[in-house]
Amino acid sequence: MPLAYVAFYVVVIGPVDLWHLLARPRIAELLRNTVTLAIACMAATAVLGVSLGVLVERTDLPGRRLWHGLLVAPLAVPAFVNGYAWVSLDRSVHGFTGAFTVVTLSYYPLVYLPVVAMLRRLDPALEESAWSLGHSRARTFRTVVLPQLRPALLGGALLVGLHLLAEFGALSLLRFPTFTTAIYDQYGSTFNGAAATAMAVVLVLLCLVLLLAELRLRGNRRYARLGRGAARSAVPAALGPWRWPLLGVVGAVVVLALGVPAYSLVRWLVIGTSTEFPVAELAEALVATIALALAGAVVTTLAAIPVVWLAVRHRGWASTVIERSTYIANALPGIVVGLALVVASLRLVPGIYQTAALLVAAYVILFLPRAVVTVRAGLEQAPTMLDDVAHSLGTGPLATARRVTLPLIAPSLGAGAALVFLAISTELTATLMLSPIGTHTLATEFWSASSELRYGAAAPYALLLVLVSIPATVLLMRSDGPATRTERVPA
Amino acid sequence: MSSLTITGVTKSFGAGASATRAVDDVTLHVPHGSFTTVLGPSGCGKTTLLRLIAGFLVPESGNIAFGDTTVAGEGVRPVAPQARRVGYVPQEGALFPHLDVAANIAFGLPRDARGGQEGRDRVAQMLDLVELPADFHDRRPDELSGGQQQRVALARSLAPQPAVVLLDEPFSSLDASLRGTTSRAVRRALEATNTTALLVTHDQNEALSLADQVAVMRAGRLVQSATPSEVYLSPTDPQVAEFVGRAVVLPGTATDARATCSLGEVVLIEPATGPVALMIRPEQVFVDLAHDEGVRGTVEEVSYYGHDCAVQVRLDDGTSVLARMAGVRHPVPGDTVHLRVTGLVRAYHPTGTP
Repeated sequence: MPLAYVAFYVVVIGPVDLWHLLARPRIAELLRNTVTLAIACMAATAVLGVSLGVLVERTDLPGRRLWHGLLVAPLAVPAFVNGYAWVSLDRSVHGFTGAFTVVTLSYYPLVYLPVVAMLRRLDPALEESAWSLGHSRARTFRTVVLPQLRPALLGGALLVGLHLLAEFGALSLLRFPTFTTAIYDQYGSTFNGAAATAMAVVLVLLCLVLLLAELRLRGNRRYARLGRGAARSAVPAALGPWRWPLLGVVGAVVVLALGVPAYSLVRWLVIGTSTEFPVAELAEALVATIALALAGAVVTTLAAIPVVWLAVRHRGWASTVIERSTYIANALPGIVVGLALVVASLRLVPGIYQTAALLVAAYVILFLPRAVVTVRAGLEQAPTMLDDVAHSLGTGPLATARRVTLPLIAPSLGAGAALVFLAISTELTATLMLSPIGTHTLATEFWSASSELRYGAAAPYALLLVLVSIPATVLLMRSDGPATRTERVPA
Repeated sequence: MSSLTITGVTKSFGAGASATRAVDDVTLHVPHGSFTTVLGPSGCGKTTLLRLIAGFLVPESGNIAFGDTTVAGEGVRPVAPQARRVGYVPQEGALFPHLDVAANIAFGLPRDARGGQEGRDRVAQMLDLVELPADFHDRRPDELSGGQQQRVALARSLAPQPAVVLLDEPFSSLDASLRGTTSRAVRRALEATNTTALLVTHDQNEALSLADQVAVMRAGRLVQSATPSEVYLSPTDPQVAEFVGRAVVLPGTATDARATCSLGEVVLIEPATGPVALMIRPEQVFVDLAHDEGVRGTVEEVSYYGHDCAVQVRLDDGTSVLARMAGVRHPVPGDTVHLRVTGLVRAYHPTGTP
């Protein structure tokens, strides 16, 4: 629907006017900023995600379980809170370098997590065969492990790219203009719908380029584990004298990604609470945030089920189109989705304008891809063979879904809902646009304080935002946590 | 429980000119309470046949009946899989990974029986039937070995007392020693419950040793269905002969009840005349180490298995012949031996029909 809105505007404005709106030096600058930042961050998060994943999963780095937890933890710190933490500590953190640093530190877990999950699933026998064929450990990694990590790596990097295209809060605080921040400024200052939508068109195109690139790179190769039996866990590589320097590197990442925001938050909390600490307002914002995030998570996950079902069980061009089109919404800035819904609701069903239902609808559009990715992985683990067996035991299709398929995909439904909950509780722009009058969430309250440079007042909200995100992050970590090395011996 | 009758069943995949007949006009009767194995190489359509019977696929033509009830066929609306009362045991068992052993076995029982004492009794009874300890009921599928998973899968399929049990290569994922014990346990469980069963496999030993009846499939067609010994000793054509076991096929000339070939004169099962192909099983070739009676040859290769050994002999006329003999005393390559054929031999006219 937001896409339809964008397309509708293109038609209304007409290609000539659209060209006039776009052929401006300002747009060229925005395009350069957006593209360079996206490429730099995707490359940096890919390198960081893979190296950290390998260090934690495949080497004898001391305290691997602890590091894994600390490396995933930045997911609980929204990028704009991270941006606020850096900016409020040191005003010189801004522009490209600032944006690059903050965004990379915020988003590398998006690559790290799938890479770790994939490394854990890889059959070590493949690597062992390569060693026995005379390949060194490094060469084996390059020729055997890396190609298999490709889907995880590409998927993660794509997610980073899409996040970046939609990122508003952090980049706005760090004063690095991209299309998304520019669109927001256009709406905010002049309500110039045409110019903003024209830029949204470019943004959607960038997103499409990313999707196509990912599709092309991934190709039709299969990375299934052949053969049967339980995969063993790999023998960790000995790091030898590199142990301590590498430990230092991992430690540095954790300090930068986790330590800086933590220090900054505590500092502003101490300063802020000496002046004001509005408990009632905080509680109200917390309740509103949790209620909205829960509703959004449930509805989005439910909406993901049919999409995934079609994509996995009834493969075809139509189901692929439906599945892929949900990704495009992910790259639309919240404000475009928000405004599209405002326009549509005012024209079609004025009654739902400024209701929680409309806001939840925006969340569904924005975060469906996350739920789809997670639920899809779960459903692919539930072979149709089990359905056949259930049918032959006298169970009808509905009962089979209830007794076999749902229990099997329940963990991935939970993980999907957790991801969406996390995303909604820290969503800023669409919430600003669409929240019913009088509803203040943690993110909107934080934003109004920090954008007015009231860093102390923003700190309690930032802290609560982080706290709200923690349970969902823990859930994610547990589903992907380092495998417990217990071997079960069949009796 | 009932018999299974398949009449003229055909199923193709693909459309138009590229359509292939996976199952081509197959007719087969499995008597009530008996065990039939469908033997064929991979891709011969045997799994498709099983899925047709289970109801996961609908035949284009032909009839499938359980006892007197037609479940699929002309003018009959195909009965849904869940209403057919078939027990289906796929490869790898496919136990529900989220349920423990007891819940897996009870899965097909009616809702009110599942939770109560009746269900628990049935689970215990089934565990006993497949020869697993009763305390296995609270194990998770990933705590079981492959053979145990297969036994639980069978127990699960037998618990609701199905009309027919269908087993799709259930032992192919097990290693050799487990395969033997598991398959015999399955056989005993099916016999004890007097269940009509159909098992598909590509393993000749499995097909011959388990079944009352062996149905050999090739390229979608059923080429022979008979008792194991008939399929082994009197296969319909040389290809079937070579598929169900090692065979020595020699050209020969038949005159009524006898025929001559490189191995001398042999006695035929059925009389024939003119040029024929003679199918001799290696264990019918007697290797004489002590006397020089029979056709002379030189031992080229000996594969020693312990209980027996296979001896490849090059006859003086250049023909290579395989013989199987007890492993107690055996020749070594280079030895000169004399060969004789014992027992009756099957002759085929060049077209393949006797």
